[in-house]
Amino acid sequence: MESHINSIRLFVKSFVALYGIAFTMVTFLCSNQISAQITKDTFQLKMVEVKAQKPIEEVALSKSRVDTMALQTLSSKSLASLMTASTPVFIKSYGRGSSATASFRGTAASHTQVNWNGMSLNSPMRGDVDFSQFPVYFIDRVELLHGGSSLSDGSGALGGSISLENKADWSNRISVKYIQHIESFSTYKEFAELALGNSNFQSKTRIFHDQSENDFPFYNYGVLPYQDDVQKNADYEKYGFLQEFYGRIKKNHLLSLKIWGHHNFRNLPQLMSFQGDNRIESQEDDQLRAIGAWKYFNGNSNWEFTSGINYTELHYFRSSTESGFENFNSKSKEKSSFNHLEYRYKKEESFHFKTSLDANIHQVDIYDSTNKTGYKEERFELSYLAQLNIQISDRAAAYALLRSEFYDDTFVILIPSLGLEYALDEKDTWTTKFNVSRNYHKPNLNDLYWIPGGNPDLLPEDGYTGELALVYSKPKPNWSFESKLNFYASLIDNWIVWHPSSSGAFYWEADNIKKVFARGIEWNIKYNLDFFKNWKLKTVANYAFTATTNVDAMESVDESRGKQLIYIPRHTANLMIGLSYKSWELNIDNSIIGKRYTTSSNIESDYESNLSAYAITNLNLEKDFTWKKLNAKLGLRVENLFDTDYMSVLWRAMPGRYYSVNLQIGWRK
Amino acid sequence: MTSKISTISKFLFIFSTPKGKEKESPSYNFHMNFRNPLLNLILLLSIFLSTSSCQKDPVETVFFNFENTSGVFITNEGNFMYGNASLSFYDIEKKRIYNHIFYARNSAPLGDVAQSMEIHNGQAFIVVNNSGKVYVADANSIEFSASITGLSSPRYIHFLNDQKAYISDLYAKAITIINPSTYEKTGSIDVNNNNPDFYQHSTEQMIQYENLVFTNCWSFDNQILVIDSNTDQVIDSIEVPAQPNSMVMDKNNKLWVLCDGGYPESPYVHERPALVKIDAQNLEIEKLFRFKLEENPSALCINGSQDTIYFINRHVFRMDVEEAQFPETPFIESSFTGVYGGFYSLSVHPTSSQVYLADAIDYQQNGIIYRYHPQGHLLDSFKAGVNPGSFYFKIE
Repeated sequence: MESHINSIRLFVKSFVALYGIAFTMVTFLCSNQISAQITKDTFQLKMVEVKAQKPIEEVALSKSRVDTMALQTLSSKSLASLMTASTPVFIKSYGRGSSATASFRGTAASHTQVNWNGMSLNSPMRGDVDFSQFPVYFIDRVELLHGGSSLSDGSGALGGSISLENKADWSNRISVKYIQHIESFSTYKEFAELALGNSNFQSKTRIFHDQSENDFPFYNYGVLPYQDDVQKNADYEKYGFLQEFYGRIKKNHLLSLKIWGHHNFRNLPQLMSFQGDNRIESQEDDQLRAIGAWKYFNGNSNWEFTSGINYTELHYFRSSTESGFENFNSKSKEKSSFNHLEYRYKKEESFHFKTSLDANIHQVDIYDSTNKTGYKEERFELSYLAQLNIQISDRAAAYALLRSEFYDDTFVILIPSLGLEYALDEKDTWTTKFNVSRNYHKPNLNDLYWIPGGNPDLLPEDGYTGELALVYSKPKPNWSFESKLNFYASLIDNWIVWHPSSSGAFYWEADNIKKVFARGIEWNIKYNLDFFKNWKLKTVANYAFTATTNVDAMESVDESRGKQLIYIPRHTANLMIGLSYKSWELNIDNSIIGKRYTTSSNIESDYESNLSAYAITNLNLEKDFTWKKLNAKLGLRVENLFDTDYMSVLWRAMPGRYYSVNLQIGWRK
Repeated sequence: MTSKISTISKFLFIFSTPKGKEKESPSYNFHMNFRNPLLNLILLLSIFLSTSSCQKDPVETVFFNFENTSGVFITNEGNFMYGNASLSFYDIEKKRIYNHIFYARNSAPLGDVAQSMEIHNGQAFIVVNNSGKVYVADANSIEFSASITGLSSPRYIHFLNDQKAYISDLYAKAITIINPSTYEKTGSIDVNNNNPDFYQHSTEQMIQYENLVFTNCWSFDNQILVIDSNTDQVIDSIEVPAQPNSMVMDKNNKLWVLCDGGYPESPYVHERPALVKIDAQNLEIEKLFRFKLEENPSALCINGSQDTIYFINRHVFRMDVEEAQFPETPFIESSFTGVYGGFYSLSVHPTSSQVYLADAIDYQQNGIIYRYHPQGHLLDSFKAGVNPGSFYFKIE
């Protein structure tokens, strides 16, 4: 086991080191050699007219894309920050550098599916995804499929799915980029990128390193007497690489291979009220994933085969140093392999048919050497999809899809979804969408096999969901406005909960307990304006109202019936504003998180039984410098501009105002 | 278009200022400026920014005086790693419950997982397990006075005299000795048996007989350690069935120990749970009752006259200490049939012999405490905090 972790780490490390050397050399050579050619080549980028019409395969689906402004502004941050700043997905963060999980449309962390270039990143063991692990820098495009629309990508995403994509830039010849980021609390981040290629082949390599002492000061009102404190034991180090290869053969074959290695070590801080002896608590994650794809285009037909592996090792350790007592020393290995075969037929923008077959295997091997417990289990799953999209009339389009799945020994024959989209006026300014789906979520392997308390008899979580959307879109030459308003409702039965054993045993058990009714509103607004001369304004705002309640409390004394699930705010909103003038750009991102309850009965109390609403504002100022093909960017960033005192999770310290400087140097031929 | 923006701004404005009395005036400006999209945006922005200044409202201090009041303190564990443990006090005469009394009086949380509490010389010692500390507060006013910090995973405190107390610990492999007058650590008792397979010994409850202190080792263990309180040394041990979770001493100086027997697929052991009677003088096991393998008995306690023991085994059972037969029928029946819930903790009032029984409901909301007459019928019930785990009776 140890050797596995070490070999991955060594691989990632040596890759990063070798790449660092190669990068420096190439940069050096390029700057000498190619600067001579600058005058010779004038490479004209072709302007491509983007047609406003929506692709037929997306009709009636609730799909949104994270704005490029957010991706660029937050490129040195984690996916957790990106989600909070620019999507309606609520992120529950345990603190700076600590883990962060998602709640999409009022559902649990395991109900948000995260796919990287089509491959699931959710842990087969726990079902969730730690959003603090992924650097935005490694992602070129982020798309969200809300609610039942996620069925077109896969099952299990009761809340929705998030798709992280990497794309080839066929116009690239040689480009290099280096970013140095220095942040408060001894935080240093380095990013580097080298892309080489021509119109038939592209290679892109990205590496990053992120290290922080994370010793931010905070006023500790979790102990008596109150004191000025510094966050302890929260340091982290992450590094990783992403290698992409793309090849085009005979114009209609497209091959790609993407490899992502990642290492993340972090110490885990204690609660603000902790005053015990020295405790060591740490988590180390090593991940290696690769995905290869072959795409073949032939007229209206389109074939695709992708195959990938995902290998994750996680080491969790906790001990009390003075007594030498080890509480946990748990190591887990998760191996998954994914295979996806897809056929599409598309006739203009009026007819689309897609069918696909997925065959995946997951293996989990977890063992805690202190408690001498663990399990080793395997899961095989098959998923078949047939999807039809038709333009019914000038104004109406519809889709119908059907999924059938098989996992462990269970067949889930019918998972349907139907949707209709209708343009309310001829100019397509107002559009309405409607869709209904059934969806379900398999129990995770921990739910089934964890010792003690795993329950092999668990049923899948089963849900029905429907939504109605109203879209208003008005593009004009110097301004554009878009508003998307979604109303949704989902009923999820057999919701899995871990609870103390009813037999009186001290450990917890998994059961299908709750029936959850999640409903709400998502409102997305985009507004762009070009004004005066050289001034540009870009605004993206999201508001989400989420009512998610347990409707099946059993006992009469149980006050949780009809109450909001814990740690899911009713109201969240974010607003991102980008204002640019020539080479200057100012970005302000704000997020507001409403009150969250920590008791299932939603008791109102002054004594931290619920967490107060808070708003965080971050400021980003950038200046571009261009000299021939050399580009430099200097950025200054202020996090938590108003030094807001807040808690995201009960008694987890959060930093006040802090700063960063960002310098980016790029060269592109 | 512009009016739409204005509507949005207003909407966001309404949403973002929940208290917003003083912030009403800016809404005027919308009408004045809505024709200019830029100004609108600036306004929108300023609204967002204005909400950023919302801060926690300071909590007003609540003053208590429980002097000459008979009642029961309830330590509510809260949820592990939530830091939401709390202290409740139930005034028996007035039938009134005071929740969150530590926070209300001291404007600070108790910490993470309040395990147990004892009162010594008018001072309440509250053991906060996963915060690694013991908070000391005045037992009548609940005003914080001191803390004993730097502990590993403290469970219970036992007072030997005004200068010496023991604090048992799940992880420290030692019992910490403190001076309850100065709150300082004065030493420790090593209980490590260097077992290469499992960490032993963890220490739990403590019961004194003459100069001997008995402590049960629950986690992956099967020992009752015997400590000489004069020398602060482990001098002997008694082997019992697996995982002794609670114990009491009866009027005949017999130590009763309840063992849960482990759990299915436990790497340590899974055997039938047991109730054991041990002679405190010669340390010999006198009686051993076995439960069924799938049962999980807990919360052994005794009445004031030390002649009847009580425990939870789904239902509540009681048994005369002189009785040779194991009780067949429950004393208080649990109506509970679901997959979660049921009785969580139990204690018996030392003078009235009324039975206090807690149900943690779904473990995520305030638990309910049922009070039963000594004959077993329900008197009343009230809500305490999250996961009410232990009781301390204050008798005036």
